[in-house]
Amino acid sequence: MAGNKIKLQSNDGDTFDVDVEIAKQSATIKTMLEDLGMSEEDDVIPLPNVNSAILKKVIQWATHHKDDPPPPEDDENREKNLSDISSWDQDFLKVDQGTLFELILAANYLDIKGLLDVTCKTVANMIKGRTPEEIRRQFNIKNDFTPQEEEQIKKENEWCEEK
Amino acid sequence: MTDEKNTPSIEFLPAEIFYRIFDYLDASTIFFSVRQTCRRCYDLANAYNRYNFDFSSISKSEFACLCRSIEPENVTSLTLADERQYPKQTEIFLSMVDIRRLIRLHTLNLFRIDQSYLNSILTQINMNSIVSCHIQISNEDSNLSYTILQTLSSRLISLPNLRKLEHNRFMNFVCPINCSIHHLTVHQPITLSKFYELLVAMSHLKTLVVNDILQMPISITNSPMIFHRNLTSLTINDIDLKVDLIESLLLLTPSLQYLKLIFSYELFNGERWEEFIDVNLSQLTRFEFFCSVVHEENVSKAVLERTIAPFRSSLWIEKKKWYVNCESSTWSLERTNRFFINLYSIPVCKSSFQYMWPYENCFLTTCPVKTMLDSTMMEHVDTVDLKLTNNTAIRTSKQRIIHEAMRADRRPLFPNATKLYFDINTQHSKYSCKYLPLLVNLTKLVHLELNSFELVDWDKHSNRWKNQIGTQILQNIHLQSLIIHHEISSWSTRLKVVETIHKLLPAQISYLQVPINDLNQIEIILERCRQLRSVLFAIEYYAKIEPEQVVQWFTENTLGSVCEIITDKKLLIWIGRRKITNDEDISHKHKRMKLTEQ
Repeated sequence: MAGNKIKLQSNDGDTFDVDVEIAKQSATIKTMLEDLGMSEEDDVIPLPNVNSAILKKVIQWATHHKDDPPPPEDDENREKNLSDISSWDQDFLKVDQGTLFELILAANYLDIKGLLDVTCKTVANMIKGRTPEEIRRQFNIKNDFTPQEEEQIKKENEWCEEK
Repeated sequence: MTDEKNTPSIEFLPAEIFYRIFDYLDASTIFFSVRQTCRRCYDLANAYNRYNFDFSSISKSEFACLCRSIEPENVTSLTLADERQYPKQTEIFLSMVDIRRLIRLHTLNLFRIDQSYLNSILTQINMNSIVSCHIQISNEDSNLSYTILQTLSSRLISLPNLRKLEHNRFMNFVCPINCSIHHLTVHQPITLSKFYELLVAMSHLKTLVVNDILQMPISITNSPMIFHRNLTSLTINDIDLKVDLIESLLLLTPSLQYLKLIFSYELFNGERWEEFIDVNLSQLTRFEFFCSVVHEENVSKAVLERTIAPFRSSLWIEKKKWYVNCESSTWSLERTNRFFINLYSIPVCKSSFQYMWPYENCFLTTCPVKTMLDSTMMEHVDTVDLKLTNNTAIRTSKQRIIHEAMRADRRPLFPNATKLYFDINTQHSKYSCKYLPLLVNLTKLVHLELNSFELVDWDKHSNRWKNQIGTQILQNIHLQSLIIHHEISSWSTRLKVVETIHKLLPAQISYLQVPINDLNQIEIILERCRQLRSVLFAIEYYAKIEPEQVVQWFTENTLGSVCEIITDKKLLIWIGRRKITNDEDISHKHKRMKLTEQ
């Protein structure tokens, strides 16, 4: 492997030459390289859970964010702000829902916290301010409640406020 | 990850991802929207244990339901509302929730809270888990004493895990060794000696925001010089110190990367600041300032040129790329002219901006690209106070500039403003409304306050007013909060005006302050604004209704509304659920249902 590059292989067989420092934004790849004894000279790092199109997008995101400061450790206690998505990320995530969810799954598998955060925020923004019916339409979710169950949920809420 | 035949939908996401998405949503959205979409979301919402109780804008019925339904152990963030909009919310919350069970709380935000309730919360909640805390104590609380505030301040800054504190009554405190706070915002002036104490005591501090620093008899030079090398961001709003004192203070913070200063004492001397920054603040990457000073006489272009010239050096323009504007303006206030020089970095660093038509305005900039200036200058301004009532100003050159801007289809001057305070009267509404889209992006407005509502010649102007105010502004789809203050000159038009205002109310608002002169208007308003959560009624002084009658109306027609009579002509209502006319028996099956796989 030449210089500071590694090869990443998608589940459909495509390989991508990526700068090591860019690839290390993925904690999964970082662990493979550092803890599991894999070296940059190894042939390729297989990523069986990511297809070529999504891996290409992930590398594009990681390349743009290569100089970002590391995300804070204390994730659970961190303030969650929906409005701080950069304009570059907003443009990057103007994709169909299938791609968006595949990016989320890839970010989760590769453990890229920044990408996972921004994709989850994007989905949260698509949910915020919508009624149950609007959310179903937005994400093509089937309403699998029976009419009795729906009535029951409604009554639960009414009971709660009047208890 | 999946083949084309199996394109993932949201239903394929694992629970842990759903919970991450939930982390960005408030409890109402999860509980009343997501939870009711399908069986899986119902189960996920019931199992979620990081709920954000954000009650800053919530209906009374949803508030009650969340307090009753979600276990306090599953709440990690709590925000109680400003009691000026949601009366008695804290009191009701404390009566419904066993706050001793809020054992996993890491964020606590309390706005305009009375000290007695604050004491209850601080003594019963396990504050050791709190990481972020914003406390705004009500200024109207007559029981507050210096000792109480001092004890409170000392208590807060001693919390072992607190990283971020925002507070409006930060009194003389005892700071522990190794205070853990990283980010401190103090919404009040502090003395120079207190500022110095803060730096000494809070060794972990990275960000400090204060409203003002007051010069007190104690001179900073009498104290030992202790440098604070962790502080990287400093904001001082409305600073009132001489420049040499500001410099001596900044000498203690050599690691600053961000510095923001807003002041009106004297104009920035670009040469002096260049030398100071070069020698003492070598890590400074972003420097924002705004100074506005009164000038004794009309400002000539030569004066402006002399003021801005030092900011054209290579350090400002090439090395740092910090661009500066310098402008003169003349305001006519009570028939006397006042002259100002404004010198500021761009984009303008103030989040709140008062905008009036100036008679004359001379303007110089160091920004090399005019389009950049146009598009970014006001992008940080969130709140605009607009006064477009001067008829004379409309005939000035500004009008020509505006017409040119309209033809050029430029983006608004304040593109990101969400709050607008708008002085308007009937005579000038034609101009005001016409130019408004050039000043703010109407689709981004969240809060609108219409002031000085002097509606003269109503019959003559009403249609135009309805079209312009009604169609252009009030029907804006994002508006959440609307406050209408009005002064009506003509007795005969009062009824018509109030009725017209009601007909123009936007349907989606959640908070409203509006005049009424008849009890029947309550029904009309609630029918029109179905998402209304809280309303302040200003009863017209000639109207033959008493606040108690309004309270009675809500008791009869709603469930659980909270009413607070503020004066004999003003009352505030946190609106409960409308009563159902054909009563249904909802007493059966009170337990949360268990969903089983079909």
